[in-house]
Amino acid sequence: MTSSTSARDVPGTTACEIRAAIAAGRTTATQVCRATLDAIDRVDPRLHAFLFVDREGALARAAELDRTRPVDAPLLGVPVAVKDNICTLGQPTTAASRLLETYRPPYSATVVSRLEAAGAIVIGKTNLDEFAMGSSTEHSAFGPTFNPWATDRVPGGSSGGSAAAVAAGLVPIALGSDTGGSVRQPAALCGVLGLKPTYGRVSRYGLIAFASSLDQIAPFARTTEDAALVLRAMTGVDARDATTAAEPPVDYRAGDARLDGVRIGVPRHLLDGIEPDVDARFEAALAELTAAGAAVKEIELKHAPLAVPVYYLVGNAEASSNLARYDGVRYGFRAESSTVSEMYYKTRAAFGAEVKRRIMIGTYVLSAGYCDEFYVKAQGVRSLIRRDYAAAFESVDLVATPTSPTTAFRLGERVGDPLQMYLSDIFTVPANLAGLPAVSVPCGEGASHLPVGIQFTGRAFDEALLLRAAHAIERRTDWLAHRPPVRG
Amino acid sequence: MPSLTADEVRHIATLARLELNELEVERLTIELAAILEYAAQVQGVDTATVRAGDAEEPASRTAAVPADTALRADVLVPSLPRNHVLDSDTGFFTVPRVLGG
Repeated sequence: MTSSTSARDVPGTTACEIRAAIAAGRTTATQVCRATLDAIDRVDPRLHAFLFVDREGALARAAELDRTRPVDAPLLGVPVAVKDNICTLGQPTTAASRLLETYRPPYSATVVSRLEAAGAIVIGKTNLDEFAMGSSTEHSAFGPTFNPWATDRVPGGSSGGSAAAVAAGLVPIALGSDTGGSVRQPAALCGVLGLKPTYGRVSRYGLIAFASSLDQIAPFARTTEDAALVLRAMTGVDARDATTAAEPPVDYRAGDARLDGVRIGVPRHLLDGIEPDVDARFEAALAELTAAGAAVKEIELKHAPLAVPVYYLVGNAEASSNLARYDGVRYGFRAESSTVSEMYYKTRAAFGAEVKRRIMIGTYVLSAGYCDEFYVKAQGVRSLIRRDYAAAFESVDLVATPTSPTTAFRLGERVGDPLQMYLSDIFTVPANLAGLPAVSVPCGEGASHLPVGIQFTGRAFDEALLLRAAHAIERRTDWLAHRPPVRG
Repeated sequence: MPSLTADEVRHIATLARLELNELEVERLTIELAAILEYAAQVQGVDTATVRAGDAEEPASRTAAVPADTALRADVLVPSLPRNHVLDSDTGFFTVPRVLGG
């Protein structure tokens, strides 16, 4: 950023650059905030990444930061976007559902409070598949988000709005939630970095629950350095989420991009059926990792092919239970009715088709007579999947796969075939089932100049090694020079 | 292999308090059968080595990873501020009228 910061200079800059420029007095939080709002006004009509932009709130907060100048704040004046299933005091939180269209939470999620304490400005709320259920953001009750690389394509999902906002350079950092790949898959399809932390690394207090044994809040960024910065600000024990773990913070400093001594396992038996373009970019990335000093070897994750069925049994069982709370009594929309029973039915009629489908699957697999053969069995297979990783991590330090078997698909292409849509999660769901950290980082482009992502999965709480591997890919490709046609 | 009838779909919908029209029942009968058929592949897997209560297994089915139950100190901390929770005009919780409506 130059000393004469104009509105055109801010979009596309990193959080580290913004923080440094404000701390050095080269620009102000207010200038950055105005430029960000202008860029959203200009570009978002073509993307629909945002469901709500908090113009007044963001400018007031920027003015406060310019007055108090907390120059040591790690995210000083950095505009961030937050997926609209993460609670924000004073802003709507809809989960892209008609049921929560008017809901305003009386508190902010712990992650939001932590980012604000670090100096960040929540600029707005981003689009998602309703209640985070989907892989394309087409299941939003408020209309789809479009991919900045090709607006006839989906951005992935469910955190498609956050991914598109970062990819287009509207914000350097955005939060999403990742239950089965909902941050990593859109990161791959939009050409940005998405990092799902270890289960227990980040507080879920204030995240609208989908599947509680799988959900994690996760950041998007364009650079590894920014991802490390936001991760440090959002992690740690929270008395309001008993699943948060007392682990040392992520210890990562950008190094020389060497990976000497790092052993990377590739489960080639899972790679059948991926797009040739994705395969070519993935193999090229493996060659770069080898050139960076890593030892790449083949491994087997015997039960990983069962991850998708296990995920759709366990995840939907938990979802059917978590979504029982939307009954017209406690949150948001309430249908007027003469009896309580009728009110439940009429209120819940506001769920979209995909949410109803998943509640139905979850209710079925938990119902008497089917619980043992579906739900309990799936939990057993989940344990086997977790053990496969534990065994693999005795001989390797990371597992590498493509993030998604395809590049961004066209709007409407899969929305009528739920099973086909579910299969796009094949590489991402195992990390959620095993509670492991995983990152998707861009590794080049495939046909039609669409981004391809490589995914690294690591040992529990070893996010630092994921960031090192991501940094090596970032440094050894020219990806950061690539910019999408629709951008700020 | 689970085959599903429209009546079963209606029964599940009642359990979930979902009101489905006939078109939705028809569509979900087909879609759920396909999804459950796909998911049924877990049933052939030998899970005899997985036993609840093992040290390497989560303590409960709703936990992702084996971990001890987290406890916190039992101390008073401030709750949510009243002005974030209560109606700004009345200072009370506001709920739909149930009497004399």
